[in-house]
Amino acid sequence: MARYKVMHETSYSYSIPVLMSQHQCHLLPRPCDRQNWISHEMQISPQPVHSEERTDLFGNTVLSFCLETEHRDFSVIANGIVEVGNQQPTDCPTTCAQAVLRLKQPTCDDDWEASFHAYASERVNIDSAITDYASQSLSPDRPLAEAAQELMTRIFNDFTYAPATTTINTMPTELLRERHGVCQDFAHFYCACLRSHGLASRYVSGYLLTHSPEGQPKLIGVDATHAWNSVYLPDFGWLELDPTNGIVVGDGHIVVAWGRDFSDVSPLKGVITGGGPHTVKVGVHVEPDLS
Amino acid sequence: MVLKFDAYSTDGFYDELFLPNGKPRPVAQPLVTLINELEDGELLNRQKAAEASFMDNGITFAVYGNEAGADKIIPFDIIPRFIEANDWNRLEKGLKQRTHALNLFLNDIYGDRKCIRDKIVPESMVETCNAYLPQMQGFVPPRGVWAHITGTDLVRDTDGTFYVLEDNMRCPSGVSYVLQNRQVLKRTFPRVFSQCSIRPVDEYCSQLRHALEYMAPDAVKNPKAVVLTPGTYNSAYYEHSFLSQQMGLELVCGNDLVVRDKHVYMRTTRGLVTVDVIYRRIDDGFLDPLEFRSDSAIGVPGLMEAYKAGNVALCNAPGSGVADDKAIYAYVPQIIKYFLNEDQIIPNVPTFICENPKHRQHVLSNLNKMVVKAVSESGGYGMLVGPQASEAECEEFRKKIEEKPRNYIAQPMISLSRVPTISGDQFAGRHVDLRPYIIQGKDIFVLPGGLTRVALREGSVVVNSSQGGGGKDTWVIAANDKAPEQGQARHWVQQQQQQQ
Repeated sequence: MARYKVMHETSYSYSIPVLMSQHQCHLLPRPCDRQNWISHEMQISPQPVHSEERTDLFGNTVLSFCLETEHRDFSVIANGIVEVGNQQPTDCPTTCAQAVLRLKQPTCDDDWEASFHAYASERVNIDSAITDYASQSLSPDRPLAEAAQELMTRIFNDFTYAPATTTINTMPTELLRERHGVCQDFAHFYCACLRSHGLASRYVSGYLLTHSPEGQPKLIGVDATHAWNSVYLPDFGWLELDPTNGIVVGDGHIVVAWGRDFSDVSPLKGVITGGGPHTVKVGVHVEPDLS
Repeated sequence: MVLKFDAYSTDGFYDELFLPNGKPRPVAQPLVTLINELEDGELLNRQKAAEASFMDNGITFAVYGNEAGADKIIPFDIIPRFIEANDWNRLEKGLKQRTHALNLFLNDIYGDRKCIRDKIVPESMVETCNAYLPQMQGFVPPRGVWAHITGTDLVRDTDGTFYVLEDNMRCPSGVSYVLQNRQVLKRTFPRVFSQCSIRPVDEYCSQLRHALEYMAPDAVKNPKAVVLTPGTYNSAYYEHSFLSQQMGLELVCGNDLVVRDKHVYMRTTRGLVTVDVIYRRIDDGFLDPLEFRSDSAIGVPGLMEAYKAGNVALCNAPGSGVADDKAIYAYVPQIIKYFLNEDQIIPNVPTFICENPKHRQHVLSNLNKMVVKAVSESGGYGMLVGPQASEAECEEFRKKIEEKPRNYIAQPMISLSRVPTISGDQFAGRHVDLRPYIIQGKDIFVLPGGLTRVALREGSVVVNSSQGGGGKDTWVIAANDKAPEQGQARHWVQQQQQQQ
């Protein structure tokens, strides 16, 4: 188990005052097999009038709050200490065809829950080009764990990480034509590939360690929120893969939330009255906790 | 100019007023007799008077994408459509059955999903349905009711059998025209009206208000209900204003409402007033920019939080559209059997689901004989009428179906029944459908009759008002034990005597 200090700051500066605003965020950590949160706190400025925590359909913690004080600056800081472990090694022999069958004819609650992530969603569209691209890896008789990792490596090799070339609304079908994008696009595309074959893949949102341990390369996505995927292997669980970096997820990936796509886990969104043109700053810092 | 029925022919279609041998059906006899006795030109005068009264009262409908003035009156034809008491009794039973079963289906889909586990409906049909809202999973709406207001489209085939053509569970519009058509026809044919013992429709607004108030949170003694409209540019704005006025409820836009601490308030000149029930005429996606489409400027931020906390009721419940998806429609007979253990009273039109490879094959090789519909469209958009389509149109749909089979269904062409309709200086048979309105509150109430929509172009079967269809009044004949509509106010009776 590795232990980290996590700081995630989002701040907005508005050109004219905001009179009132309502926000929803997925910044609070979620529990999962390979990680425990030791402590966590949120600092919101200005002070919210009402705030409320609930659990969404995917088991993520959602915080909603309302600001009724006139303000030009708004910031949310999430601070926490977390313990993160590695994934279980997979020797899952299930083939792609067997996994598809299990999602079509579920035999346990895990299958039912997973089948929810086996269809196109708001930001994950599918066309025949994507199905063809994925076919090269996902042949029916091949073990899914192996095929899923090969697909990840292909995406890492075929696509270029290029910040500011895509927007928040870029869809997988566009990414396949353009061949460059950011982690959100890679993760959406990965979901589209699996789902085009009737397999289940989640969109996972979280953080990476800011400075890699000595001797290891610096990863992409360290100074902001990151996104990767997990693939459902029946009777095994979910295998987490990071197509942006082309690696199997290890103890440097900290999970915040997961869903079908970005819309389900958007870190911070809101509706404001007033505001005008504004600037946003997002900073994420993760370092080993030595205390 | 002579408008008489002497030359009228049913042309082999089922006619709602005439028998195949050319004689009027017994229920229509008084009307046919009157029209045949009218002086030349008198019927046309009444038709014009009826149209003028719609215009004068501002009973309009906006057609999107039409440049020549947004608001139009819906074309109205004064010849009513009759439904006999026995037919109606069966339809009413069938509609109640269907509404009840679909409500149980929605509770199940957003709950335990037993009907998926028992293989009644495939999971993929639900997950890939545009109207399915995962946000609602696990939620039970107030009193367990999803679709408070339903409009079910019925058609009648050549042999007189009624079929359900489609369900509409996301804020169906049109009921205001039913109520207004009736007001106008009472003035158009006052004497015939009193001879025919016709079931009244004016109960609708009080029934709706009761149903809405029944949905209020438990502790509320005098619930406050409002009608939420997208605004004056919406095609059905007239209806929103009419219904709110008839029910005595405030008509509000999104920015008239505000959410604080998970309660909904209405801004008024006397400060904030708590709102308990919202009859919303805004699509799901626009209700709350925080939860759904972030570009919605007509919604209320935070509304869904308030709704999920049980502090306000939304009618219809968000996510109800799953039950009116045109592909789910094909499973309704099984849904009724599964949830109610009953056979369907009003049959479905046989439906081919393009997602199913065998069905798709059949549809693609018989495109010119079928009606193809996009599953999540309404208002007659995204539709192919095979027998009347050009080769290019068929080709276009072939491509669309092959690209996204889940988005399409196909049905055999039904020869819709006809009603005589004034066309220039003669009567011509025009195809009609029927949209009855069903309110689900404490009980299920079916408004006797509904909106008869008529395709005004010769031979056309597309009746949607957004495609230039018109309206007719629907006269449901009272069985002996049901009270007929009361005669008109006295001065109308006197006027009628002077006219005839």
